[in-house]
Amino acid sequence: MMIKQRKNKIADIVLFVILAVGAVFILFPIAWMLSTALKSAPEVAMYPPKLLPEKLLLENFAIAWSKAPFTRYTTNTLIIVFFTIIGNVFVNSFVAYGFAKIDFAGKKLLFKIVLATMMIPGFVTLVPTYVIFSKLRWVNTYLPLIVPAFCGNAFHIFMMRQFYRTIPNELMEAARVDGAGHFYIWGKLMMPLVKPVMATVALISFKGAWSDFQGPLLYLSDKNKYTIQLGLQVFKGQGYTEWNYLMAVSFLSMIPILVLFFCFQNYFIEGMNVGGAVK
Amino acid sequence: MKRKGLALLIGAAMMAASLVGCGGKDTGADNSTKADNTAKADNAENVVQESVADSGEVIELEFWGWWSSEARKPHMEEMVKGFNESQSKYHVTYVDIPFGDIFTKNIAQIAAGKPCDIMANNMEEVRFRADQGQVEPLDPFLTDDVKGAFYEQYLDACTGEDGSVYALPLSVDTRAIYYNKAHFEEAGINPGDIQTWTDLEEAAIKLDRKNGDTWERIGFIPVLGNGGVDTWVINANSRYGWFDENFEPKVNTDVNKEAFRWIRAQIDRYGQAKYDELSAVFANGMQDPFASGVMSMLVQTSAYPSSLKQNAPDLDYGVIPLPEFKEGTGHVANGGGFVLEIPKGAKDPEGSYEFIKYVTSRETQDFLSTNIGDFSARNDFDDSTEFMSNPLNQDLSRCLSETSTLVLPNEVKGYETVINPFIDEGTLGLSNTDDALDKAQKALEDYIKNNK
Amino acid sequence: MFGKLLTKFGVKSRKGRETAYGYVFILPWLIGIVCFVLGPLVFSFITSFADYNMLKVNFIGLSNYKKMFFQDQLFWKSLGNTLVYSLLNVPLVTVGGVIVAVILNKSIWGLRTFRTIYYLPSIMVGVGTYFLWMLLLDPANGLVNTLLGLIGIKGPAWLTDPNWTKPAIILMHLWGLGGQMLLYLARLQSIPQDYYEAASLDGAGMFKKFTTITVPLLSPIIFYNLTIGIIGAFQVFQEGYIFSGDGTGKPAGSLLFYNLHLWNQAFKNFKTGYANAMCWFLFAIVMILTVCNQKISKKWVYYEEGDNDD
Repeated sequence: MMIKQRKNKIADIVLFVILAVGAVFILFPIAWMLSTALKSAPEVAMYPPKLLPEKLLLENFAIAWSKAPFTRYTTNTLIIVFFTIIGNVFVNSFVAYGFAKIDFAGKKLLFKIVLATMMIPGFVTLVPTYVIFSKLRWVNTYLPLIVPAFCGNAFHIFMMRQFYRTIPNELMEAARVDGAGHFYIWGKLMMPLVKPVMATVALISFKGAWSDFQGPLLYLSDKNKYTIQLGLQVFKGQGYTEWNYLMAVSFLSMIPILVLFFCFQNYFIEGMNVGGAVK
Repeated sequence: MKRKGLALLIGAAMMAASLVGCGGKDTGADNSTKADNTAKADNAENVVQESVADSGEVIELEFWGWWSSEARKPHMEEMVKGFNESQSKYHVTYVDIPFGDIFTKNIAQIAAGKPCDIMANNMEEVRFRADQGQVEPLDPFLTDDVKGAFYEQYLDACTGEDGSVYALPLSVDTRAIYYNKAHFEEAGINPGDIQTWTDLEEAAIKLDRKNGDTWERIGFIPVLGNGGVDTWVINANSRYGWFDENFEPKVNTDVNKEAFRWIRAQIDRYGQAKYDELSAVFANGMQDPFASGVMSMLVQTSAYPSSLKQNAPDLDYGVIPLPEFKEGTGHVANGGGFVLEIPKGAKDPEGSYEFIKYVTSRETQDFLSTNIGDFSARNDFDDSTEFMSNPLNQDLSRCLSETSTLVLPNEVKGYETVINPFIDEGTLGLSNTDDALDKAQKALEDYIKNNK
Repeated sequence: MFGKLLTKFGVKSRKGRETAYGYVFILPWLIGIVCFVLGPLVFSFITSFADYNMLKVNFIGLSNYKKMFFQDQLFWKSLGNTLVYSLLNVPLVTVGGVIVAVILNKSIWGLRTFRTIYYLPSIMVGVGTYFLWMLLLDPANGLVNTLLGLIGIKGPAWLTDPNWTKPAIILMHLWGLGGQMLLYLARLQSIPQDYYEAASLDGAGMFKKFTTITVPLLSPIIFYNLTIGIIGAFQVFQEGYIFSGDGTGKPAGSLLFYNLHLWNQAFKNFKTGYANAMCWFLFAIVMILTVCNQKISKKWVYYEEGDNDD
């Protein structure tokens, strides 16, 4: 027994070291990002580049933020993100349940179509889709960015379906014996079980909407509707880019997601408590 | 029973899809009908506006460009304000969209029939866009005095293959060799002495500084910065590099081979590893070895001074024109420019033209040069303006007079993607430069043949 | 309540009722497809048989497809680039993702912090990240080669040597492996510890436990990541576009991926009909691969709900 404990301790230490080395590697680009953000423009351009700036220009963050109405852009982005998350989480969970647990005619074919839609490169539908939204007069509104989130997303549907299928059917059958219909099963039984997965979908949606550049670029014309990613363009001049400010704002815009992840980690990852429900 | 239901559902879906698709298709199917329809739809709005315009309402126009930075945007907006205040019929708003993405968005809007009113775009492809039907001709509004105000080669670039003028030049650029004055003084070099490629090589060797195995200072590598093999080939041929006057591919001529061999010799002096290292630095665009004093000379465009102002405000530098391949071949540099054009389907081309005329007028061009630092294509500037009083600009302007603006026929569009991989083999040392050019010639011939 | 509605409409059979329920549940997706997706898809397919430049449509039959296979030198080159890249990328990223997630499931000191750090790359999105990596991959001063130098390896010229440009991109993806952890951990955490304990009592070592308990129970998620990994790898675009600077896939066309070539045709040369043809060909390839993937999945994917009737 003692040898086993020692073996476990050694394994733990080895694991820790491996993780730590990996973590340092992971942090490199972020170190450079911060380093660039704190430099003056001539320092950014200096060759060979140095990791540590001469002077830590903390004011770069404030200056960069004031170069464009980023606070407003943040609010705009939050609005888009909020609706996108609601749409994605609930609609995909709903649709995926249909594909996973209901045996309906044509299911196999339709699910193959779901998969197929993931395989089309986006650009060739870029212009026709724009034309559709233009004819609907949705251009220069947030609608083209939000409405599709309420119409299901093939990746999330596929993903949630996989998770649903790890739930044994006995659960459902017990409920049906009691006379429950699918709506009840989905709402009261399944949703609580897949909460962590839904939380994951929420986080991924957040990330997707927060960093979306092409959508807002195509569909938003009014400056005061811009999102953060669009706003970053103010740092790109003709022939040169203000890297320090760009990195500063990029770094600031990463913080919300990071905080979200760190605080709610356990919730995202807690695992679907199927065991508890079955036993 | 359920199969029929399924079939019905799928059938309904297909019908709905084709209806939507038809909507999309019609947008493209018939260009004139679409333009008419959307023009009618928009004119319906504008008729109201215009009839009210006659009674004092203003027509709103949108001007798209990519100048978003603090250094340039305010000046563009001031210019627009100037136009708005100079007349009362039109009101222009400046919209800035990132360079590169702006063109994608423009195409999407033209396809949807709702483009902006005035678009800034590149000069090299005006003819191509005209051929594709993406721009409105300016001929209905253009007068001779406006036409005659520009250097011939730039107006020529703005003319489509059908002879109509489709854009007016907004700004032009060229290339030159920027040099570090302190380095030159130290090495005892007089910039005026560099007239030919050989002179340039000698100067570079004098400027090189090596410490054992490491290079402390690079004199000159021709294919870094904004210089490419094509730059030097164009210089050696005094006009087109890869094509002859009839636009037949002439990649592996003796002149080109000699030029490429010279370039290769310059790279070899420093070693392939050093070249790889430096070209990676220029590729990421963050560091600038010239601004850092690691390189003494560098080929760059005429827009470089604004970058140096930001990255190396204390650097003492000058420019010299690209040297002559052999005495008498000319200090030819390849350059291009930007134009203002009217996207197809714009709602009021006459209004758009008025704005374009204003921006390309002498007063406004002078204003733009002084504040933004771009060069104008107008032929009526002399050294008396504020912009030209800067000796740097005088030198660059002299380079402009020998600049070759490449406008290639539409059939060869996309040729760079075909020949560049082979040229790369030459600069990366994967292939002998003569072989690289031979391979590129064959590829280009095949490409043109297949594109006919 | 809905059930009563169905009975009123005379839908009494189990299959009929299930079908009705099914369609109600997938209705949002169906509406989305019909309204926003099908139209552009059909349009794209139809114009692949035409000379279409986004303004005019001029039908030319199979010319685009003929040109693709027989006349476009860059078509085969770009397809080759994408294939090589996918072959390298997909296995490494799939296997790597599982390993990283499993390690991050062990209770060691600082786990929460580690998880956050490993997840960081996924939220570093945007063009800035690519430029940061170009800095890191700098042959002389970049951190990657500096580290390699510490253990005595002379790092290659990552972004200027055509042989190393694709591995450079894959390196960047390996950096982002932590992104997959969310899904794996969600599943891993619901695997009862009893399984592992029982296996230990039977004398199973770490590796045996991993392959007989962890992997099968994770297999639906691995299958998901593998499938979208294949689809994603074949659609690689952004990295090629940004790393090659001018969109021609330099150096030596090594970064000219299929999608980049497609993009150039559609948006630079305005040969959108041809680009659409390329698009549908890619779709066909990926579809075939996905179907193969699915068929093979029956051998190794295990669903706790019962059968694997994918």
